[in-house]
Amino acid sequence: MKKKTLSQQSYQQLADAHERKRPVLMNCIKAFFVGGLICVIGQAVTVLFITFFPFTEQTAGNPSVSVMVFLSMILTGIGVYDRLGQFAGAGSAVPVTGFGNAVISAAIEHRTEGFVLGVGGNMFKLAGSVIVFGVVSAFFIATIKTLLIQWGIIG
Amino acid sequence: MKQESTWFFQNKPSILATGVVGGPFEKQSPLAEKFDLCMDTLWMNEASFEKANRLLIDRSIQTALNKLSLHPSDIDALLLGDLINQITPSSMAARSLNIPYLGLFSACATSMQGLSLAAALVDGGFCEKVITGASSHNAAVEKQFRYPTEYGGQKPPTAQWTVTGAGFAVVGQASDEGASIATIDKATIGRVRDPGLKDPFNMGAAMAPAAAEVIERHFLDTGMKPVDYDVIVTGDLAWIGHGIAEDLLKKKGLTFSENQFLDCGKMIYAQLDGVQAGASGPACSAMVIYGHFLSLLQMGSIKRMLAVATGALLSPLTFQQGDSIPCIAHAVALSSPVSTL
Amino acid sequence: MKQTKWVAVLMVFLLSGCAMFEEVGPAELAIDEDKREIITAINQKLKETEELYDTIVIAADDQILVSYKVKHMNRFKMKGIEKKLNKWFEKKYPDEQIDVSSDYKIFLESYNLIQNWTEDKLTKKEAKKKFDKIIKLKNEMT
Repeated sequence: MKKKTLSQQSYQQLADAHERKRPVLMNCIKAFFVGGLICVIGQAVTVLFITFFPFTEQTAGNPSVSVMVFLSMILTGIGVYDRLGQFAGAGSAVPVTGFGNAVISAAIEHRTEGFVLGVGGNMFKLAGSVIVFGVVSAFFIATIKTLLIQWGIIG
Repeated sequence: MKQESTWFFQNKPSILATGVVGGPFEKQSPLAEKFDLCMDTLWMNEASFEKANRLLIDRSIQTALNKLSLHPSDIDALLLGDLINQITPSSMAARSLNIPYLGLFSACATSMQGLSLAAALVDGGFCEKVITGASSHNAAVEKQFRYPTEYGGQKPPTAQWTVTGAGFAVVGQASDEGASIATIDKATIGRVRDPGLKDPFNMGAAMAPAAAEVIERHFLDTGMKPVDYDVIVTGDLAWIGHGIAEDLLKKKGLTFSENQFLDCGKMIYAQLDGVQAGASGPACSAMVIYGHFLSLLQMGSIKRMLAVATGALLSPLTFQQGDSIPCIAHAVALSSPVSTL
Repeated sequence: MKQTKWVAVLMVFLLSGCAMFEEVGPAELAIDEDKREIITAINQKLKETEELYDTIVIAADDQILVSYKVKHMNRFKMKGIEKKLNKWFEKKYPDEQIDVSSDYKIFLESYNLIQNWTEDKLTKKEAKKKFDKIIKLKNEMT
């Protein structure tokens, strides 16, 4: 990173004095409750799948995730999710619904450029890095785990 | 090179008419009644937000021309700009108007860049009538510079809301005193200032030094003092940047009385929900200055004003590559035709 | 109005959550009588395991299914508990085929089977068929 000049540094101080701080604590509390509520809904969907369909606790995960992504898709489409996001921040971005929102919002946004270049090409504009780094980190973690098991360090 | 960088216009170039069009959100603005027209939806029945931006330009130019009963062929030059990729909405609007066209880009400072150039063209006798203005569309700008409209990312309280709208003015020689809305006296073209800030969600702070620089230089060049102006209005520094600019100017010995140093970004939405630190966008200064302040000048309730539009000259590419945000501001001094009677 | 709606939603979630933690057992069922003794012994052992709170043991002629619920804070050690139980079964009943599951679905289905059985809704053959289905479901997840 380029070093800041002296005048830039002193300006940074002036700007900091005027800046409005993010209400971090309040944001955390909101994120906790909204994120928690989304997870409670997710759990309810899971219980629903377990109780009324032949899914076990292990296999009910996939259909539940699909349902949650579908719900976030609907909410994104009717323009509610971005408002929820402004209110809840990480609370609505971290659960899988946030991933769904990132995909769908990009798809809607680039609908005007057509299906192939617009929707197809831009759908993973935001979510793409989540997938890439998810896969990459999973690869490394799995490699490390395999090695540790091979060497008998963990069981 | 001459010492003074401010342009002094000799032949009283005047603003003859304005056309100001807003979007659906701008309807809630406390200044809404000063706008000629507000669209009902962001789409405006167009196929894309970019096309809607073009429609805003069309409507606004048409409104200005209609007020003077002019035809596009009566206009000698068209100077306008916006924020979208290579100012295509402006160019596409110019395509159908068939007027000699100069595309401008100073980001949100485009409005005053256009006005000073238009005044210079008229003052120098190169053109008789010039149309100039700027436009922006919230969703189109968000799409290009930030995230998709429906993306649920949290905006920090320093973020600014891009105005949907367009503001245009017809500049020419006033045939008689009553025909002029405001006289353009002077213009100071800004220098690019880069305070080294990199946060695209805090553009007010990045733009403040550019505004302070051009205001200070304007007073230095003209020998005027802040009391000579009834109103000094900045473009879209909003709540954070405007406070910084005031501090910077105070350090240089320029102080203002209450309600003398204003900001379009603070005024257009007042404290509406969801706009965070205030408004931004080329349309912000264009709409507030052409819509609100010019009507005050025309009525004579303010005699002299200094309009300073500020712009952040970043692109989505430069801030992703970690470059800081270079900024510019242009100042135009306007006076009421009433005072000259 | 808005608030009452939210409270209602919250209540539904709380109640639906409760159903999962409601204690219904311990229960046991021997579809073939000759396994009665073993499953009673197993159930006794489970009762003594303090991490668990609700248990069901079902036995058919060649297989025994043990399902249980783990107390909330002990769910982190779920795998360890399963291992411990499996070891104990292997030592005590090396000849029996015993399946162990902490899965709620397996528990639920087992409970339904017992209820239907006690209400005489099932013939022995039907019960065995259902039992096999549960075993199949249990093995599906791995």
